[in-house]
Amino acid sequence: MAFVGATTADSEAALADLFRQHYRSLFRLAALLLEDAGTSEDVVQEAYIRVLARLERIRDPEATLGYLRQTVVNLSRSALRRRRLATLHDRSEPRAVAAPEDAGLAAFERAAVVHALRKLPRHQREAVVLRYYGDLSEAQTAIAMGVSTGAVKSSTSRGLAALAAHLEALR
Amino acid sequence: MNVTMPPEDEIRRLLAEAVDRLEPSNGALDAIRSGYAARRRVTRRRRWAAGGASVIAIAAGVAVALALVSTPQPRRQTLRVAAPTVDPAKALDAYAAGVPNVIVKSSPVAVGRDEIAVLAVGPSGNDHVVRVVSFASGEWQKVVDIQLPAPSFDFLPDPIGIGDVTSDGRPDFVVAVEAADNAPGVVVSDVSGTWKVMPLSPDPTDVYAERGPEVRDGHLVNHFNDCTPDCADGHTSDVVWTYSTLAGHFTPLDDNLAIARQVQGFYNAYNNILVTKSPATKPPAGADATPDALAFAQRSADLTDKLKAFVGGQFDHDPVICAQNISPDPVLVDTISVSGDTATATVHQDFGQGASRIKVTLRKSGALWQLDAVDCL
Repeated sequence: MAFVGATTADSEAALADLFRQHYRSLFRLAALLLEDAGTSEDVVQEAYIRVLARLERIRDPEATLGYLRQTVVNLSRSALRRRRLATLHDRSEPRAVAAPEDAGLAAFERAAVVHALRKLPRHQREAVVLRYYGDLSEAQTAIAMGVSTGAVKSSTSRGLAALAAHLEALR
Repeated sequence: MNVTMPPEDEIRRLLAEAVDRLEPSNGALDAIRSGYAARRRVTRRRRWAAGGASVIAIAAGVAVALALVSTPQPRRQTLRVAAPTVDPAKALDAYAAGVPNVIVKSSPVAVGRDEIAVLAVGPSGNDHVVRVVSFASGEWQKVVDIQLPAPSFDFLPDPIGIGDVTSDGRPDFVVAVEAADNAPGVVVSDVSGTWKVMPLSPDPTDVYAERGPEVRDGHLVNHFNDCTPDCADGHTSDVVWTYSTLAGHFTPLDDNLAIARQVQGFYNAYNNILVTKSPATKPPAGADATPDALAFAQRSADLTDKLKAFVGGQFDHDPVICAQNISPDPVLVDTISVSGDTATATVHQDFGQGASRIKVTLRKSGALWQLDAVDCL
C-alpha cells in the first residue's frame, strides 16, 4: 500500500485495499456506536473520505486503520450531538418509524443488546463497543476515544455493569 | 437490583450476533470515490483562490515598492526554486549537531501539523536544560529552554520516552537523569499551556520521578523500593501515575500510595515551615505555615479554621501536629483506610519521651486525594 507521496493510482489501490479490509467492520462498529443505524453508513464513508485526503501525510501504513477508527468514533460523536440538538429543537409530533425493510437491519434493531447499549452514556458505550466488538486493547481503545487508559478501564467496567442491568431489565 | 455481570465472552457474542447480518450498501465504494473526488475539487479551487489572492497582494506590493524607489537599482536575479522537502529527523540531527553539550534528543513527534522534539543539554556551568524545539518552514527552532531545578542532575544518554502521560492529547517527554543507582527522570509537558517539568506533588521543585520512570500504556510508571532490609535487597514494585489537571501535578493511581504521599508531603512541608520560621520551641503562629501547607490540603475548611483559631490563640497546642513543641522527627503514616471517596490515615510523630497521634481525613477529588480534616487522637 503506497502512502507518502502517493499518486492518484496509488490512492485508488489504497482505497480498494482499505475498503475491502475494513469497511464492513467499521460500518458495524458505527452502527453500535450510533443511535440510528441508518447514519452509520454516512459516518463511515465520511471517515474514509477524510482519511484518504490525508493519506500522503500518514507515514506508517499500519496506522491507517487506527486513523479510520478514530475518525469513525469522532464522527459518530458529532452525529449523536447533531441528533440530540435536532431532537431538542424539534417540537413537532413524533413521527411513526417504519419497520426496516432490510432483514439484517431489522434483526439489529430487535437485538436486546443494541437497546441496552443505547441506554449507556456515550463514553461507556464507546468503551464497551471498542473493547468487546472491536477487540481493541485498553491502549488502542484509549487512542480511539482520545482518553487515558485509566478512563477506558473505568468506562468499560461501569459500562459492563450498566449493560448487564439494562439487559436484565429488558428480559 | 441484584444483577449478575455477563461474562466478557458473552458480551462479545451478543455484540457480534447483533451486527452479524448487517451489511453495507452495494454502492459504498463508489460513494466514497465520488465524495473524495468532489472534496479534492473543492480543495484545489480553494488553493487556486488563495494563490490568486497572494499573487494580487504580491503585485500590489511590488507596485508600491517601485513607486517608492526613486533611483533605479541594479536588477537582482531572484529566481525562486521550490524548496526541497526536508526530512524533520535529518534536520533535527543537523540542528542538534550545532548545539553544544547535547546529551540525548528525542525523535520528532507530530502534533497536528507541527513537529516537536526535546533535547537534553548540559551541563553548562551548573545548569542542565531541556530544550523544546519545533519544526517550521523546513527548520528546527527553539521554543524554550527549561532549567532543571536543584539538585540539577546530569542527563543520562538513555532514549527519551514519548507518550501522552498527562492525557491532554499531546505528547509528553520523559528524560532520564543521573543520580547514583536511583536513575530518576523528569516529565516535560505543555499540559498547563507552558512547557515545563511537571511536579509530582504540590511542591513545584518535586519533579524527579525515581528509579527508571518510563511511559507505559499512556501512563508515567516508575519503581518503588521499600528498602527493606536495605535498598540493595529491597522489594521493588511499579508505581503508575496519573496527572491531576485540578492540582497541576502527578499523583499515584494507587489510593494507598497517593494518600501516604499526600499526608507525608503535607506534614513535611508543615514541619519545614515550623523549623525554618520558628527559632523558639513553641510552634509559630499558623499564619506563617498556612499558604504552603494548605497547598497540600486545598479546600479544607477544617484546616483553615483550625489554623485561624490557632493564630487567634484559641489552642494551647498546634492543632496540625497536635503538640506544643517542635520535633526533629518526621511525621510517619501508620495506617490507611479507604472507603469510596473518603479515607482516613493515622499518623504519629515522636517527641522523645512520647508521641503525638493524629487522624487525618482525606477526600478524593478527581484523581487527587486532598486533606479534609486533622484531629488529634
